[in-house]
Amino acid sequence: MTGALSVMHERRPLLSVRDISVSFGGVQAVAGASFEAGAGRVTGLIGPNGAGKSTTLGVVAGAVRATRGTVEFDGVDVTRLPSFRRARLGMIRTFQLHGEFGKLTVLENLLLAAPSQVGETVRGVFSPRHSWRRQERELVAEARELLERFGIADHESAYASDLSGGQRRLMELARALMARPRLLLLDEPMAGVSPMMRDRLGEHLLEVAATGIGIVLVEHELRFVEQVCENVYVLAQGSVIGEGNMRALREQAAVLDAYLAG
Amino acid sequence: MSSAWQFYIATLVIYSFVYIIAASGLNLQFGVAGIYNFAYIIFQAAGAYCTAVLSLGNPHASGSFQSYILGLSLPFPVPLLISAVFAGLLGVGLGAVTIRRLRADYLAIVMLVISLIATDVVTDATGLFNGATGLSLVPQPFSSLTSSTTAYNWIYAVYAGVVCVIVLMAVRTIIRSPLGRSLRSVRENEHAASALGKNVVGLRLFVFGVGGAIAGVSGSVLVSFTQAWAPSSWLYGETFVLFTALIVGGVGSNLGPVLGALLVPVVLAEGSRYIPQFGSPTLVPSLEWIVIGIVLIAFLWFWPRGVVPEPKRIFPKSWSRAAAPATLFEDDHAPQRVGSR
Repeated sequence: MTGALSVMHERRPLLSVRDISVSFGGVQAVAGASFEAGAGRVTGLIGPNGAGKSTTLGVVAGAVRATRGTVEFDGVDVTRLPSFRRARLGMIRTFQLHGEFGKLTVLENLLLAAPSQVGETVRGVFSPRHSWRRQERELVAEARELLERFGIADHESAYASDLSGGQRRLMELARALMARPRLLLLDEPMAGVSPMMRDRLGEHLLEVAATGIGIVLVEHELRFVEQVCENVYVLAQGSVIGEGNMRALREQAAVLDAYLAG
Repeated sequence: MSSAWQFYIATLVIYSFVYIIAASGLNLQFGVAGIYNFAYIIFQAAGAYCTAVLSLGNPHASGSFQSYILGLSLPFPVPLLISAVFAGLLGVGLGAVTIRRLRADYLAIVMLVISLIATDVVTDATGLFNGATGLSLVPQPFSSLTSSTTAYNWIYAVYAGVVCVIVLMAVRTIIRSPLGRSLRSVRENEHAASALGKNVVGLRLFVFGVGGAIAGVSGSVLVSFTQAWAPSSWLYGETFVLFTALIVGGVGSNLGPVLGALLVPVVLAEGSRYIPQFGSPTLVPSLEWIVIGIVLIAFLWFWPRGVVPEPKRIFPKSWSRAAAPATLFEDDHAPQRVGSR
């Protein structure tokens, strides 16, 4: 019995999105979209402009309220949880544009992401022992290691607003990892990234997924999607019209009509 | 130095401390957390009125000419502490109503309207704080120590200075802590902050409360010195004087509010006293406001980060581990399970 439950647990998707709909006034941005994402895998959401990809990601992250449907994370219904509570559960998102804290340094951007910081509570701040300083020291060391791995350690004291587009993407990914995620939600991570940086970012994503973290990414760059995504969902007009790997999707007529051929 | 000059200088010193305290609270709200609280002055007023009615005594006793609520005679420093708590709670209360759904300029507009409404309510509801005439004869906390007014002023200046240092140290501690970093993240990008697990509304409420409490302290210190407080003491324009002080001094830094409070409300406003009278009697006081407005625009245009900009936080190079781990995550950094936090 225990063995069967264990198998069920392993097969349960990390993220399960069921029948979500979003309306903005009279515009139906998402219309009954459903998809799943597993731990240790990169799942892609693709589709033409206006397909509802970023809105769907916003619903998953808790930034956009769904008019219908549910979002389950590791078996827990998080549909009504605000975004910061989802983040504390390990659902960490990045942004298509302007995801950085511009007038904070790169290192501070990473430090911010670390959860459960003693120095973020009033008691911790005014503790006579300044116990947060020890934790801060450890977090700085950890953040520096991440910056080193992502090749932007030289910029740790630069303001995030002074980084190039590609460097910002790397910083956001490093920052997301600093948040100890279980699921990464990446909104067009390739936007504004140079081809050289693209390969580097792809390698990093696969390395991250190999540690057991689930990744859902919305992306226009199909070659990149093919390179990193095990499973891809195609959205058109707010609905999922296809699922599979990129090779299989290219052969689906509905997908070709809605997106790839267009 | 003559006694009159000493009296004058001691008074200026007290006002300087009061403005520094007030500007520090606003710095926490506007400079650090990016909240446009255009009703900031009402929290100073709340502290001042609270201290007044907690120390004035029964309004009906000895045929008082003033009408006001409460009328207690609490000993110093109880009124100060209660005023801080009251203004802080008022901040949390107003924040809970406004900041959940309002941001930036919309919040600023609503807070400005709240400031105007508060002035009208206090002016018209004469039973609250004696209406437009205001409250007077607020007891002086150290009057038993000396009979000399000049000596009293210096004693009070020391008291105001001690309160000012305590407030500055508290604000500095917050700004330099991870909590201050979280507040700055809300200022820079609230959506990204929320996506990283920061409770943006909670952080804003916190800073509304703390900033309100600090403003309340400044009002309490001021009213115990001036012994009088009326709606004309806290017109909405006073909020803009403090904003100008902050922008001139430097938003987000520790020294900015100190420098700004000394340059704008003290030097600029006090300097207008030395302008020879010309034109209509209201011309020179009006010029004071015009100069403050020009200074504000000039700084926003040419020097938006102020005289003492927010410092960049550089961490010591020694805060690194000897060797990097082989994997992205160490054991204690493993992803957490749902509900484990």
